[in-house]
Amino acid sequence: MSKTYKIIYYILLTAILAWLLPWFYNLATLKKERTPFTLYSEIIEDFAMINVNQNEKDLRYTDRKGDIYTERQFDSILPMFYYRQLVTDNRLPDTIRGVPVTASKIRRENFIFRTRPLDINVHHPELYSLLESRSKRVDLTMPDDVFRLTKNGIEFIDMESNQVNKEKSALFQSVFQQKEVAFPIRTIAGNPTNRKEYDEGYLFTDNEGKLFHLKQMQGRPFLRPISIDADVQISQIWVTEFLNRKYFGFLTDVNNQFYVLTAPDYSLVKVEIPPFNPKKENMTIFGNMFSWTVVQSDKKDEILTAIDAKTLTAIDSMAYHNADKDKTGLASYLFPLQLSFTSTKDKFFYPRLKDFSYRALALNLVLLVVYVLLFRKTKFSTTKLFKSLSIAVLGVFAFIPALLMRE
Amino acid sequence: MIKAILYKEWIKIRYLFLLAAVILMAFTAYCQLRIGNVISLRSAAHLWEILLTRDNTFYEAMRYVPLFSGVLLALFQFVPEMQQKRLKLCLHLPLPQNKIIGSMLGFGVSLLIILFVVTYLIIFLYLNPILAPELISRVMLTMLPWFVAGIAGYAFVAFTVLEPTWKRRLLNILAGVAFIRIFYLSGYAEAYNQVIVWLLIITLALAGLSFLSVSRFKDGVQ
Repeated sequence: MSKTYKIIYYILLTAILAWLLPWFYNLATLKKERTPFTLYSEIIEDFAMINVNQNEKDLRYTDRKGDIYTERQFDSILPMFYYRQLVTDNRLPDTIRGVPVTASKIRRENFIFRTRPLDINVHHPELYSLLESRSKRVDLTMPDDVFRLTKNGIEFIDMESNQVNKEKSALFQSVFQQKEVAFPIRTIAGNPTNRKEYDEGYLFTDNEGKLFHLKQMQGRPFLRPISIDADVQISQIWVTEFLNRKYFGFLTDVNNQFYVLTAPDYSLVKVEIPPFNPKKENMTIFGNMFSWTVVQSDKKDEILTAIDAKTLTAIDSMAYHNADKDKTGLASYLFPLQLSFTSTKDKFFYPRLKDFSYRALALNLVLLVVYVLLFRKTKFSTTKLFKSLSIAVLGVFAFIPALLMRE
Repeated sequence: MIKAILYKEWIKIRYLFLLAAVILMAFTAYCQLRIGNVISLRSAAHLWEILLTRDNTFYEAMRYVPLFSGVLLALFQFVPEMQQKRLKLCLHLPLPQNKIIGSMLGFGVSLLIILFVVTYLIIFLYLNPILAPELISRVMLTMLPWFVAGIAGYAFVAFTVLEPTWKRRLLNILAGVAFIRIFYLSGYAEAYNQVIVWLLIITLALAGLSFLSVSRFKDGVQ
């Protein structure tokens, strides 16, 4: 029994070191990663960016060609983003690209959309609040019930009594049946909060991949099937609810294509950006009445695409590449792999082996020789063979416990 | 003989067991009072909204209580054995060494599991009329790693206390701290759902690490 537990303890110590040593190393060598804040300028028709130096004191306003701007000039070349500063300085032009503008018009048309893998890769209780979309009050209020989507239908639960509201459930269920919704529901998205200007309820896809829009209007269900191309298989949905009311939502399909569902005509329009996987990449869109700057970023790259706000086609694009990520660090010579349990890309805990490195083999072999020399006088055993093999494969992680557990 | 060993263990830790039960119940009651206050001062809907939109379970105050119970139980069960050299006597009983240690460890782990299951039942019975099953399972699954950490705490304290040398004790403490840290790495609700059963199995298996310490003790490692 104790022999078995010796091996178990050895494995446990090796696993702990495979987790903690790289963690300490990464903590000690942590570097600030920063890409310049960049937006597409409708005025110079190029990307304009703010470069920050190491000590974060010296800001350099520039564009892709290398032209340098003062802070005031920079406000002027990005009037849709810095319109409040321009209004304060009394410098907001009457027209931009021939279109008359006012501060309130710009405010209404501007939007910022953000999505992170961390918001998507998460366990979420499958209960949803359906707000009243056509309330007679100015402010939205949270409802007293939530709904759940079962295998066969929809069910509303009153939160005070914790009982199913059979009447309301039957009312919604009949509409779902009328519109031939195939249960169970695959994907559903909405913004169940009253901190917004208006409510567009939920967009969801049913079991056959059909897209629907669900709202509650004066206590009655509003359910509209949305006709989309049969080839498009929706995988992720975001209900936008921007002030400009031009879109119902953003969507991605299984091929990572990005779409906009326009309002009020429910057309699904493809946005001309590189494939976007919301489970792995961040996306930020700075939108205005003329263009959108779409920023897609993963660990290594940040891709910026300027999109025409009317046609949703690409105007221009550029990319930042994080060269540091490609460099071979000392870690790859020390550690044959790294064990971690959490990630910045999800809210799950599970063991993840990453950063496998054949470069650490040299150190592994050196450590194996040291181990054999140190223990040359001890007799051969299966435990010793197991430890030797572990050191050859796992290097320093297996070597340290072998030393610590020597009798 | 086993009965006598179990009775001896019960005599040793009965007051501590009661104390751990009282502490667990007190913290459970405190958390439930907080939930009751949210319902009476705001509404049940507000409670549901918080549970739906945040990583809050209202039981966060209990985070380290199962761990504390496990550590304390192991200390009270095994420190006297080592201090008063009673372990040596125990190992001379006409029973296999593993059977003796196995029944001592099994008794401790069983008492902890009983305590935790009863606490879990109380929490479930309190939440059942207030929350939908989806939210109850969210709360209980979020809390589960804290309870498994309690068993891990017991296992590593027993392993360390029964170890005869201070050098190895230090190593066992460090390994225990690192292993227990795993249960508190993620603060997100339901983060451990995918692996919690495996963590429980590994933790129960690691409770047997004490066999290693006892074997070293019997071998006279100094």
